[in-house]
Amino acid sequence: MLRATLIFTAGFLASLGAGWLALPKTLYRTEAQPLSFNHQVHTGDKGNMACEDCHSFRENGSFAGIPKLESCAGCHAEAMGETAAEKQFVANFVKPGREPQWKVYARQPDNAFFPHSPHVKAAKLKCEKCHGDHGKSTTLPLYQVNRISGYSLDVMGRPAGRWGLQRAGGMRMDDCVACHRQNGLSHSCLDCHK
Amino acid sequence: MIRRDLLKFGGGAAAGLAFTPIPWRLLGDTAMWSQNWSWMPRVPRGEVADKDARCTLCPAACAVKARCAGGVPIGLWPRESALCPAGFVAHHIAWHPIRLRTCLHRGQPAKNEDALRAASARLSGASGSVAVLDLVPGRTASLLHRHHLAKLGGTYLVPPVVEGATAAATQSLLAQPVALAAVLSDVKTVLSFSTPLLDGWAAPGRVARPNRQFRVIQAEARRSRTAGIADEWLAIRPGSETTLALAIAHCLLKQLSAPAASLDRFAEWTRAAEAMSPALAAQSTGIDPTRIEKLAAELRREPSLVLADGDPVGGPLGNELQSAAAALNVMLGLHGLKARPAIPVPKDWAGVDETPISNAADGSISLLIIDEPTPGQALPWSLIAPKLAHDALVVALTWNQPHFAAQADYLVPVPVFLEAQQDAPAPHDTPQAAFSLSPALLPAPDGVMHASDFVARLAGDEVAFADRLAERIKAIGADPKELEAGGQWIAPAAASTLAARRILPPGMTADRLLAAAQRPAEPLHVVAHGWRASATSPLLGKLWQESALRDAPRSASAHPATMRNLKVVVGRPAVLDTPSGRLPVNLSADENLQEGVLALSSGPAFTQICQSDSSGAWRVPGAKVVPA
Repeated sequence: MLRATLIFTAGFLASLGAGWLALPKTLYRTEAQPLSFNHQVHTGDKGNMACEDCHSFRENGSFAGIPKLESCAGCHAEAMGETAAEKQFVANFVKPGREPQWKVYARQPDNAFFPHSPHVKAAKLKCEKCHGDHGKSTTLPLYQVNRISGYSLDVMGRPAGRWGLQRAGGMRMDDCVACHRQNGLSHSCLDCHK
Repeated sequence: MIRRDLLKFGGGAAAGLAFTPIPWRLLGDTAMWSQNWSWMPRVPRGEVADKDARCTLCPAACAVKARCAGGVPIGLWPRESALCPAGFVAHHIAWHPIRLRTCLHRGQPAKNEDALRAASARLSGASGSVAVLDLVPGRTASLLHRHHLAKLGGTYLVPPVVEGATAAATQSLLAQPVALAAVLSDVKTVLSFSTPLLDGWAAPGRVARPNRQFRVIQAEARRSRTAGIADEWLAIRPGSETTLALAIAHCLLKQLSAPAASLDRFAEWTRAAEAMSPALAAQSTGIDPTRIEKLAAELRREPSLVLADGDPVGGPLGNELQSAAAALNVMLGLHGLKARPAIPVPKDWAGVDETPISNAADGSISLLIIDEPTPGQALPWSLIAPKLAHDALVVALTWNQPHFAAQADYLVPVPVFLEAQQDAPAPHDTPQAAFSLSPALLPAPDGVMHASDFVARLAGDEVAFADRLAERIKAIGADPKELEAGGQWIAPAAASTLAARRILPPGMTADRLLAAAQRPAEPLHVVAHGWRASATSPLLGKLWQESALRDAPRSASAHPATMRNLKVVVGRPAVLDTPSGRLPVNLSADENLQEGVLALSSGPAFTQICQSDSSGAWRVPGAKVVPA
């Protein structure tokens, strides 16, 4: 009986290990960003820029997302500093006029519609509320993409996060609903799934 | 370690699995994976911008605003008052599952050049003639077909007129024939015989309830959407529309104004009308004689228009009814009908005249080219087949795969709405001759070929359709940039006064009218109806059908008593059995229908089983419903 219990428990623990330890490592693959980017240089004392200086709103109110190359080239037509990343950026992207193909950490599925404008302009939410300290980072975090769904870990969150066992991260539907519920706002299906 | 230990370990592992994220995570991830299959259209990321455009899927050419993400249209909205459901999803057509994307030869992949070579060989080798059957006449491509056919010595064929049929019938009665448009805003009352007047016939902005200044009386056998929202629905027995028209004329004759009596062939019309008293008509139509008299008085009291245009999928209503409706319009003073000026054409574009397909000689066509650029054009194959020579080659230049798959030797894909600049035919519900252009916002897939380019190459003309379109715009005097940006060129309204010369067209006799009015009822009268928009987007069709707002193709309804007589029950598979073929149908009960009537929501399959009768109406004679 003891032997049987031990074998059963071994199987049970093996599953737990595979599920909680191996799955997160195998489910996601890491993809490289086109170049290293330092937010802190731009937003800190040296650059003293605000988020919206680069991540701006268009005239029609829609959010432009990651700035286009022409925005960056306004300052970086030539290298302003001595870092290798900036020189690489100017040589490989600015000079040839090649748009960097950034991987977007917060890209939502196509069936989810998230407008920045009402959240930032009307609700006065700080960028950090959803994006954390991203604006103060010195290097870009790893871009981890789900091998099955194709979405970023930063959108889906960590598997254990749902149970409070890990720092959750992610920007999932539950997070949107929770925040709306907390603030007494509507959260019908068609608000986001248009 | 023995096998039993392995099983215990597996049992423990299975139990433990439930306490890990593996099953739950895989469920969620695979669900999202299924949303991102490579063949599914993806909305591109990029700036969201609105562009003004025109929808050219029907002659209304409604002004739309196209919302584009990364340059690709993701939504259409009305720029003016209203837009029909098809217009809201018109941009879906490029991704429709039945969209034809590659040339097919008898179901096998082929190249457009193969179709061109086969057509050229047929032109040079065989006797007989080439013909182009244009399912959307009145476009620039139509003019070019006629021009190229003049070089080839061919025939330009057009399907029977459905929308605008009454105006066309009235046009033949005028002293100076001019193209006519039915202008609903000029009348107070419209009597519509089974015409989907409020459901796709006119530009939605002109018939939407807040804008509607006229009263609609719908005489129809089934409670169509137009009948449902009309001011009054006359539930007439199917096939008795001509009877009602003659009975109304009978009442009007008593109060006739002098000019009408002096028209040619008035005696013939009078003979038919006098023979059909309201009391006699009531037996066929099921409408109370006093209501018929009252209806005639209503039509006479205020400017009124009578329409008998038919359904774009169910087909025309027949020459007799169209002639009777035109005659009633003459008696009522030709209200609501206005001359529509022609849109200029480049001087060197002379072409052959158009020929109704019913007038083409049997067995005369050795090469038939069918041009089907947009959804919604139904035409029974029984109208086309007799015109073909024994070994005729049929090339269908079409947007969709299934419509002519069984009959055409070659299916050649054409660019669809928003993949190439296209103009719309002149609208039939406004006197303004308007020219509108839909923009090319989407890249056309490799291998599509404009129908006009196909015919042009046969005729040895290497000028592309896009350049020909620019020539036409120049001849019109319109600004191409404004047209591209959703503008519309409108010709000055014609100032001609309409005067009728005769009240019946040549060949239409009192005997024919009375024969149509007294045609014995079929044991099971199939009333077919369709909806142009259902073919535009599978999403729209799904939403409307699942919400029961529209009947799905192949759904049929009948009165419960009719179903009892047919010994069929709701929910059981059934087949519409006709001499022309069998059509599986999904049956439902509808107490609004009269006994002996089967309302059939028709898709392309309907055109395989219906036949054009001697009057030109599309019917399904000898039909019965049997359990499958």
